[in-house]
Amino acid sequence: MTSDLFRFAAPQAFFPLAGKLIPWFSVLAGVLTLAGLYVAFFVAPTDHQQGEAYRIIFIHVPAAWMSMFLYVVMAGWAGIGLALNTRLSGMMASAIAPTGAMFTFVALWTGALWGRPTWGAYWVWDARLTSELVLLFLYLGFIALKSAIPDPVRADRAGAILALVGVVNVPIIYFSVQWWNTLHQGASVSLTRAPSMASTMLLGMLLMALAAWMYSIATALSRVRSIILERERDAEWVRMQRAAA
Amino acid sequence: MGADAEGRRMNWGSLDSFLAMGGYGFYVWGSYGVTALCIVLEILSLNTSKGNSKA
Repeated sequence: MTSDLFRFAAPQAFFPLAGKLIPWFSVLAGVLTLAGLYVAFFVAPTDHQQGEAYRIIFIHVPAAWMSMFLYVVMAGWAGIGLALNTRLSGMMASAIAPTGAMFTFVALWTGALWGRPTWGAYWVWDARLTSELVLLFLYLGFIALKSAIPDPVRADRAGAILALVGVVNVPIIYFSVQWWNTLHQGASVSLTRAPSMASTMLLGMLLMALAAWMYSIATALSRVRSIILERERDAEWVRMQRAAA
Repeated sequence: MGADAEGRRMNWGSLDSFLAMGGYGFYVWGSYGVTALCIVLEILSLNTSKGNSKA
């Protein structure tokens, strides 16, 4: 069992596995998105306070969740690479970063468009919003730092340190609404309390969140394949792969 | 969010009222539109980099 797991730590073994998994995750992402959008626009009722503006929640919350979760996963891979010197780990971290940055941008963008009708401002320097903006800069800094260092081993190490230091920002984002007086509302969904929303709204949000997970896995796997081919371009198996393609 | 709204299906009546989103069309469609654009751009960039690495 463990030997099987470690077998896929080799880029050469992981490459075809990733290739086989991508279509499945892509189809799941598509189906879940369609189901989520259907619930979001045709099943979930109008909010009695916010009217239809609240429908932004079906993108905003899943995107914000993914932005934090992907950062932790990215830093986790980077940390494993730093500790164990495994080649694939740094590649995985690089593969996750752009998708994480995309979800962070989407969370900020949809938040701005939701803030305007509900708070009267696209942007305020509130703890939640500011720490999420810092998250975007951490992702962009990670990507920029790695691409600025030509040697992949050193790039992985430098990136890993930045990613690990930046992890401190994730609990700050998550707990900001409790630690400070923020304009941003508290969590509508938590593990300890019953959710403070209609069950169809919750269903739509969970479907969209699952879709975001599947999408993230598919894009990370697709990107890691490109990175493997790029980094291992001088390896015999990549040459054969290229000849076959 | 009241219990009375539970289980009732959303009925927009017309395409116009669907697009208007109760007056919040700009904000709702601005959110969904830009998100869709980001996803399309990311998928396109993935396909391009795949093509480059094969060449």
